[in-house]
Amino acid sequence: MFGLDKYQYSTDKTFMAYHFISNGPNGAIQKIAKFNLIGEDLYNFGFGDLDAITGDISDTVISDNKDVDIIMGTVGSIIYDFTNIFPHAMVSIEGTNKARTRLYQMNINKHWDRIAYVFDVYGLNENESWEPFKRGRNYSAFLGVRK
Amino acid sequence: MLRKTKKEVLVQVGTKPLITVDPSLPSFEGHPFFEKKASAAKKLFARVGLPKGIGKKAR
Repeated sequence: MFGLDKYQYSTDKTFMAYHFISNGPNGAIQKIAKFNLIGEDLYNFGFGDLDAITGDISDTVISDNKDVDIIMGTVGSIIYDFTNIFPHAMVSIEGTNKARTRLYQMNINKHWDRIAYVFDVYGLNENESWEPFKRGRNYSAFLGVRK
Repeated sequence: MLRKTKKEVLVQVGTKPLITVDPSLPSFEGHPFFEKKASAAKKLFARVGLPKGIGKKAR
């Protein structure tokens, strides 16, 4: 989806959890993405690095594997696939910190033409109100639904 | 005669990409990392609600 570079990924039997491996100068890093149902047709999307030994997942570790664009392409593709299976799903994304939220925002901005073709996206503005996503505005959270 | 590259002969069948299901992959249901994220998101939506009209549109 979106014609972006991405890693191959797999999903569990429920189509709620997704696994892929980031490959870069710092080695192979396992990533887990998951959709959590938090309301009627409302899902929260989160993802992080999996420590295969402890089972811990973290999204605060800076892996610096020089593949952020591929990871973001993979995340976009996962969300697209998920909403093919659950077309009424509203998917919310909130960064764990301002830097991570900014990263999401930059990627939505960068690929907006492709994203807007298939998703309605809303951003949570500084007044804590949702508004249709506009390029160049700062948001603290995002909500997407298939058109 | 033009030589076709490997990329040119790839054909997409259907409109939806196939997803690889790994039956051995756990669902991570109840994992503290995702539970914490979900809890924070629930609180956020309890406070700010949904965008106007989106609920009807989604359903």
